[in-house]
Amino acid sequence: MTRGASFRDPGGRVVIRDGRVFREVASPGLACLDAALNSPAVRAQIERRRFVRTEILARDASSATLEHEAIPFPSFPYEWPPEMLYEAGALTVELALALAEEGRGLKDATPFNVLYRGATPVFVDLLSVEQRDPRDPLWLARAQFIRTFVLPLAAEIDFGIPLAQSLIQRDGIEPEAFYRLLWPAARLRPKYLPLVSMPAWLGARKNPDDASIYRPHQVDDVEKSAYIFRRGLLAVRKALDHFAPGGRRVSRWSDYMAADCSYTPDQFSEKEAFVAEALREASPRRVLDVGANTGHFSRMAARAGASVVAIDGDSAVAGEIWRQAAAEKLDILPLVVNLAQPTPPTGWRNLECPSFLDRASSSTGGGFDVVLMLAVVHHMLATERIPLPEIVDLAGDMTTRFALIEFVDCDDPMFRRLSRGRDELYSHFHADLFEQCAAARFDVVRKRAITGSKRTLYLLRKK
Amino acid sequence: MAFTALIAIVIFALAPPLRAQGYVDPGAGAMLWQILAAAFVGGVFLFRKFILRWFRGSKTPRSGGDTVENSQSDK
Repeated sequence: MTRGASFRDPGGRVVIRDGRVFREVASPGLACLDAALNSPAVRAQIERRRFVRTEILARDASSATLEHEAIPFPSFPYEWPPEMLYEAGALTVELALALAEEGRGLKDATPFNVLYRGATPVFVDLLSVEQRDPRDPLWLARAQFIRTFVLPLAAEIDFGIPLAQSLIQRDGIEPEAFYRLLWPAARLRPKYLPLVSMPAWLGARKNPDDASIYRPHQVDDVEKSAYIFRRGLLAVRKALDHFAPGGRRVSRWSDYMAADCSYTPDQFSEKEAFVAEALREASPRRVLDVGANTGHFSRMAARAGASVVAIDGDSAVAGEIWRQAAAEKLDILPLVVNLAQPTPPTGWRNLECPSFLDRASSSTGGGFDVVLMLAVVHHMLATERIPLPEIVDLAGDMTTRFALIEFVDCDDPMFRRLSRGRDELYSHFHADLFEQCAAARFDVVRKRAITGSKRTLYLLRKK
Repeated sequence: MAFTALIAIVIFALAPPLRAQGYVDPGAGAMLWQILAAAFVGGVFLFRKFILRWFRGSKTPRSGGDTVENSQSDK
């Protein structure tokens, strides 16, 4: 199967063929290719596995064909918690600062230039690197960095506007749009004045037909130009740091495991033992943890050697998973995805960024050895009103071998809380109904009713 | 000077809402701001250079000798 993944840069386009990632570089991109390949800063980041590894397959005077390492399960900025957007921004500025020391730069600065390998950001746009004019003190990509990194972070941290809303449009948030969110007094706050208010005021008063500001601005003194350019990058870094998600964020679900947990310590130990045994039996390479909360079971799977994609609709808990995975260097990719309303495909012809289900489905080459759905099915039933056979069917589509599902009976206190007085709708939701539905796609390998609760764990093998 | 700047900022803040109709170049404001900031930083660079040169000049011995930096590099 072949599909185009990136084609906006006239310097080259990326094509994905049978899971391998190729870049065809055209004549205008060859200078950028050389700038990247000759850069010590790029080589240093490749060593740290934070810049995509690249092999030149063919090269002549007017074109080149490259193969990039494939990053497993590509994710997009509108699926990240703010912690991951911040980290991707920090990598971009770090790279730009190191390149500036060599007289090189980044010609664009968008989070779509970054993918995540587990919890580690990887800069993937090789052709973004360019040789700079040493007399030009301005970074043309600065405004794009502010629109796509800083203002979406500010919108989520200060106003609770999720990245799923602000970054679903590739170009982020314009200062003019952000300006309208601010009270007059807030427009004068030092963190907003240079990023939002001044650009909005200046932009509103500029003649849109005058393109002179975009022409190269040269200064006579190369040392002065380098000083201004570096100070500009440091100011951008400072602006990003203003909106760094600090510490643990609190949400409706962030304390579920610690305070609102539906299990006694013994019951939780029973659940852990069942999951650990299932993971030993399946020895999965790839695991999808649906409704991962703060990632307790994702970490179990990662420590067992699996590469884990952990999804949860709550940005605060996804951020907490990333924080812990990054600290422990675990192979976990946390994403803010609600499986009942998964990420749609986006971009030109809906082909640039495939949907979450397209990437997760076993029929399109994605798929996971094990899909964990622990204490999440009742949320999908009662809150999202998804029929039980549909949920089981989707689990069957996403796994290649096993599903580990916790079924919560309609008499469970949490189920009752979620059903909000509509108990009669769910009065037949018992374990035997789940087993009937599961039989369409799975065989039951093992099951265990958690002692003293209305919850049953199932290890299911795909038919 | 600072007072004038403050007044200007207050006037901007209390100004009517931004133009809602017609094409507004979305990157222009940020670019103009970067140019203004670059001009300011350029001024800082020249001032810093001037101060450093003046400071070094005042430390240079009056007769015939190299600076410490130069005499070390000659060894």
